[in-house]
Amino acid sequence: MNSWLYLVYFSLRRQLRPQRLIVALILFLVLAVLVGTRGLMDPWKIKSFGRWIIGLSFCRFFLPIITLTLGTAVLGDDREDKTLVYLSIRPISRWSLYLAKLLGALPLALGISLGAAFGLCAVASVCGGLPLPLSEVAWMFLPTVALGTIAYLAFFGWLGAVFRNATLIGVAHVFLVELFMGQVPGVLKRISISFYIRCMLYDAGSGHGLKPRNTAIFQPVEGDEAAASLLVVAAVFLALGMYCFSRREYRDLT
Amino acid sequence: MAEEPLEINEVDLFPKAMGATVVDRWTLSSAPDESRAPALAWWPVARIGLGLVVKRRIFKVFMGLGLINFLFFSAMIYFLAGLAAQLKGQRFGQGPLEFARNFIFTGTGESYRDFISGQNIVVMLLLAISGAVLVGNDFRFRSLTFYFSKPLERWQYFLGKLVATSLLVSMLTLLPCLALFVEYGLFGDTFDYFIESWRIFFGIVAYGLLVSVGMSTLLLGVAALLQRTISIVMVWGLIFIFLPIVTEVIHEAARGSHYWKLLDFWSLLQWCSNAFFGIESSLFSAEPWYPIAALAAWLGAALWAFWSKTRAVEVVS
Amino acid sequence: MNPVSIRELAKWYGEIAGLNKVNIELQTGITGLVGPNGAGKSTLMKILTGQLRPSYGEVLILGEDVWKTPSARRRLGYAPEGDSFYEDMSVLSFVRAMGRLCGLGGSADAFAHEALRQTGALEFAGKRLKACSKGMRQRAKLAQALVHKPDILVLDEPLNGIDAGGRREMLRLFEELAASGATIIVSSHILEEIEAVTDQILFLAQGNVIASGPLAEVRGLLKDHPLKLLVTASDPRRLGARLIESGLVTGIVFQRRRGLEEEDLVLSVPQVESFYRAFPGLARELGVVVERLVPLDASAEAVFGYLVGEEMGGGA
Repeated sequence: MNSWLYLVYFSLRRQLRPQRLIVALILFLVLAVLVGTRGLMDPWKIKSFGRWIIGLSFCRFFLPIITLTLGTAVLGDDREDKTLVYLSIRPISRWSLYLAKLLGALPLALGISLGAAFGLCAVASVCGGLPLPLSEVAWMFLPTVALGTIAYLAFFGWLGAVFRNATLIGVAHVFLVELFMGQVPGVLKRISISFYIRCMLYDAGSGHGLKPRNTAIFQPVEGDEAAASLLVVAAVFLALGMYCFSRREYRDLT
Repeated sequence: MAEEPLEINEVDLFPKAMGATVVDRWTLSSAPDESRAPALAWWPVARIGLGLVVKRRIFKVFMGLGLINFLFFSAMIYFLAGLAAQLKGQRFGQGPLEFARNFIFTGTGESYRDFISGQNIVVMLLLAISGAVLVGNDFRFRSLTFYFSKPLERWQYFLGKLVATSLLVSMLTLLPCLALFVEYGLFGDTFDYFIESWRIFFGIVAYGLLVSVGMSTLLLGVAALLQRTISIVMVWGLIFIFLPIVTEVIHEAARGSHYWKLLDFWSLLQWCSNAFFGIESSLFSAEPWYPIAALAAWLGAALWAFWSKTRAVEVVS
Repeated sequence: MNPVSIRELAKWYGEIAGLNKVNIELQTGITGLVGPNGAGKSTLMKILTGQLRPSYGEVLILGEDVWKTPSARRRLGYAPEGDSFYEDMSVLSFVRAMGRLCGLGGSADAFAHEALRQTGALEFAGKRLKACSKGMRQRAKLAQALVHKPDILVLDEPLNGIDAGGRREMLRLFEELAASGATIIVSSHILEEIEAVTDQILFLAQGNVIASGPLAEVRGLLKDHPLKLLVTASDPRRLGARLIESGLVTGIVFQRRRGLEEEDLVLSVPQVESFYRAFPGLARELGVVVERLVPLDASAEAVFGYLVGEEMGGGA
């Protein structure tokens, strides 16, 4: 148990790469400057803040990119650096090794995503003139961000366990499936995690006019259903990731 | 080694070297008598870099995606030409035909601009992924030592990488666009299209080159600075997805103040394309030096990043 | 129960057999693993350490299947061949972390220091791995394999990049560990050093174990390659004639010593034990003084060459 817990801690430490954190910080600062500047020129409403900032910029770009970075790095960093061998020869079962690595990435992913989302809400409240108190705005959006983070992290972690070029495939997934396919009519969009995130957002902000532009095309599901779907996605891909990693042989360990 | 045998086989040459690669030295290429001019030393860099990228399966997927757009336009030109021939003189179908002419492909500068702009998404993705392969890995895995142990200058290394990347982009933008231009002209009744549209031709070449070389330079700078795939992807996404959203939101809120658009690389490319094709644009029409300076600043920063990182030996403190 | 038991082991990569019908029982001591490139040494080591799953057969480490039972790896230490590390970590923190991952807990620091001392890496323990030379990194790699005091050590090319003095130190360390009851499996291309410390050698080629056992015994089994002995004697011609008569040798070459008039004898000896038993008496009988008796092709390298040549079917 001790060694497993240490592995969780070790994985968390390994994820704290300065380059990644700086880039994430830059992304957040750009967004924060935007929120503040735009808010000073024209005070935010919940509807516009929820659509443009949380819905579009944050949940459909910032969040997938951050979770892609951290999720694929769960195994990707070690595979790329050829250090996975040092972990795979320890007396830790494969599936629990994967679980430990993913759990090691989770605090950082949640910290960055929730911290950034809270920061944006704070900037919008302080400089941007949001009509609601910060706590209410945060409570409106943060649960969506948290569930979205967990679902994305599990998905990208699984990707890293299965594919050698997980980062490239993840990038293609983000741009082609999450950004593009998430907007097509019909039920096809339900294969994207961003669909459920947006459903939760629209449900949370429905009292303030936050809704899809074209409900007939978007066809959202209820917020509770969307939340449950995200949890199921997270659980399924976590289980798949553990299973795949425990069964696969990685010939590129050294 | 054995004396020259009458009959050559692997066992004779290397009887105990099991598992080794046997070199049939009788068919080795002779040492080149003429060596390449030093000024062309960048070409092997370009050739190898290009080879590294194109042999990956995922790049073929992205190439395919880019070609889909090209094929669509190409098919539409053929469709319109055939339809126009069949419907000549008939009123039926002129409504939809007119619609198709106006909004699909008209052979005007806007059409070619829109085609290249439409390709830019795929180009952006392709470059995001190839950045690490083409450049980042050279820095990460210390391959620069091998490059600079040869009589290769830094500018030649840069030029080689730039040509490799630009050729990749051109395969999706400039070259298919030129093909569309030729196709559109050839489906006309005379060759007048080519004579009348000379400005469009130069516009295609200029815009295509700007997109190819400009985005490639930007990529080389980002990749040299960051080196790892995911960091490159994050910054690339920041430049091409994040910033456009940001500037658009501020542009709207700032009552149309267009100086924010200088932060959006796509907008700068768009402004240049309008200038090359002679299309009127409301943005910076009276202040052309702004977008030019902004573009120069983007490319200058990328060049500086690449130059400062390109060293044969990495110093570790 | 032997520390390492490999039974009917086979490993297939698609249609290619990486290993085929390998049956080995390893005792405590040092076992050398020798073979040309592509022989299956790395595959065998990866299966031994649980990185690859056998296609057929089983590998037991102290009675436990190393792929199915992760706890079996608690008593296993592995130093891979590659030169990859957590580059931003210091040598000490790397070894300590590996110790913690083996369950050492709070004593990991003390164990790490001990392992670094054993491998001669203590003096640069605080240095970042990125800034270490190849030899330093190799020592760090060995230290992480030793930190949790394993009973079984699998070392893939452990002497790469280490200077001559360092290699002697490492070999002495291996001998000490073997003497204290460890089972060590070493693969190396520096055959002359490995043969000096190994109790037995496994020769692999094309996925098969083509010979195993103490080197002298393996040499003795190569009937097609009589042992070549160099003899310097006071009267080589008389001695040579007598040896031919006795039937103890199948061939003699008189070899002039460089720059001198004297000759040496190079004997081809098919029955080594019989020869060693009879030769002293024979020399005494003739009154010939034997100044030197040196086997020319009993080294691991020579044996390896003969075996590989045989495997190819070309002979020597």
